[in-house]
Amino acid sequence: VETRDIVRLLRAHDEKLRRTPIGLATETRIQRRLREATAPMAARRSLWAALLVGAAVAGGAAAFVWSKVGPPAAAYPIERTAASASPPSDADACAVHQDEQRVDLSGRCTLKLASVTVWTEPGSELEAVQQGLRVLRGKARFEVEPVPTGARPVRVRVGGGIIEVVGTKFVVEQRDGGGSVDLTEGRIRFLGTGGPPVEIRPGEQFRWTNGAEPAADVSSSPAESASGGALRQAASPSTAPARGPTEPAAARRASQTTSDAGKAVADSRPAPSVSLQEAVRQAIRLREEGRYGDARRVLAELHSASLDPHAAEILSFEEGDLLEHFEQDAAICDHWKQHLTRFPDGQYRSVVSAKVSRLGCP
Amino acid sequence: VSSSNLVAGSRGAAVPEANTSIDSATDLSWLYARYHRQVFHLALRYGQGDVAWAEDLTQDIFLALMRLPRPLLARESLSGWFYRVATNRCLNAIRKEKFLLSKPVRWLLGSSFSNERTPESLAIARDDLSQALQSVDALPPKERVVFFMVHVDGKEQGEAARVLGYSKGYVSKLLKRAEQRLAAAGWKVERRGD
Repeated sequence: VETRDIVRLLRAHDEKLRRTPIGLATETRIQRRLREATAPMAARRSLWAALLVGAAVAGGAAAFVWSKVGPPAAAYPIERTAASASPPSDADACAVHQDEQRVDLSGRCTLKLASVTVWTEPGSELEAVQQGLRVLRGKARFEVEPVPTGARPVRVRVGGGIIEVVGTKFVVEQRDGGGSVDLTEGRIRFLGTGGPPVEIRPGEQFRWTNGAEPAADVSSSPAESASGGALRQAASPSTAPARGPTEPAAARRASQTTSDAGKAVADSRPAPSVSLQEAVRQAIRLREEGRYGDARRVLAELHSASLDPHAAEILSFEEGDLLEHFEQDAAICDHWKQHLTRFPDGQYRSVVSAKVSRLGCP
Repeated sequence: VSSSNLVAGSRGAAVPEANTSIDSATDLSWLYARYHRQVFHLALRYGQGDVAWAEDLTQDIFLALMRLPRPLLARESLSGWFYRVATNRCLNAIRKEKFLLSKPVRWLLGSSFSNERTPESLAIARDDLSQALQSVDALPPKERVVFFMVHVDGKEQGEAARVLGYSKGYVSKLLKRAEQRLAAAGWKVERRGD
């Protein structure tokens, strides 16, 4: 009998886990929790600051004067800043190569524009264009300061069109054949070729395939703002989670919008009476508010719907995830064991198996 | 926007400076954006793929970062700090869980759960990977973490000892025990010495 090499198996599995991107819903939850946790700390600091008001005022005044006298943050050209930065010793070091307006970035870098901050993943390539940036390849996280009413929005060009931003946080990924944008906060619009602008809401992902770019002078007037209808039209029950099986949050992504260069994707399967996407989106919103019972009821409405196996697995996974918030372990075990029986080859099998094992289900 | 007003840097403009507080929202946001994947990956690994478990650990670690005195942080690279803290937090968490699942504690708490494998749960582990994960999960927490650090992360035993705060001799003993247990369970483990 051949002896099995456990190290090889574990390394392969670990590499899969390493490549598993953290889900948007998961990330949103963690960031919200961090914000909540930092608020009391800020309050405590304020108390101490009040006790030391004299010193604080003096220090603050000095800092204010320095900030006014010192150089503005965005005054340095790329080469000089990159060269003067002390690179970290690991492979994550940012390297910047500039050719006219094109900016090649390897390693993890931070770009700072007047109202936009961009964090890039290794191997990304960005280009400065009129009124914004173009993501040529790679993955970048954007934070855009709110755009005043009447001002032109910031634009991020990608393979399938333009992402128009009015103040928000989002992640853009551009691959060879297409890409996606995950919206964390705020509001963005996707201006694709041939279709109407699509407004993307927080917690949603919009995907595109590379195509001809829309004209540069696409109107950005408020009247052009996409209706929710465009978004709902694009949603389909077959929308697949973009993440791997080791990330259950992928199931929450069933509410993501799938698009081909901004156009709706047709689905020949019979649509359930309640949209899976809409229900999962509602469930995410409710669980964010701690209303787990309501979230469970929303998902339960889908029980009578005719769902394909993939959608049914997503639904079952989401329900199990919710059960963990307010049910006894025995009920949770029952659910997960039923899940494994119903979907023996499902994409969440390993995750659910780990849950069963961790709970010590009989 | 012209390229002349772009600013790029290895650590970027939002990098927390050594003489500033780590707990400002900007600093935390930057640190989170840069390191959360590393932390989440380690938590997923030691949590056997449990996302909720990994989320809690990730949050705890970033909150711990905010409470860390700046001089301590300055002594090591942030990546090394996150690796060390994530590994130790995960070790503590799985040791705590193991304690709560022990028979005396379950008896004291009146828990009716049994952690013994049933034929049904064993049937779930039908592929090699599941069996490998179960075998590693069955190792005592310290041995499990040391095994991962040395065999999967490629750390030297001395480095693993520094991260965990143990002596090199103790880490060597933990590793040897883990390898022996896995070999006894029918697995091939190449001995990796220092």
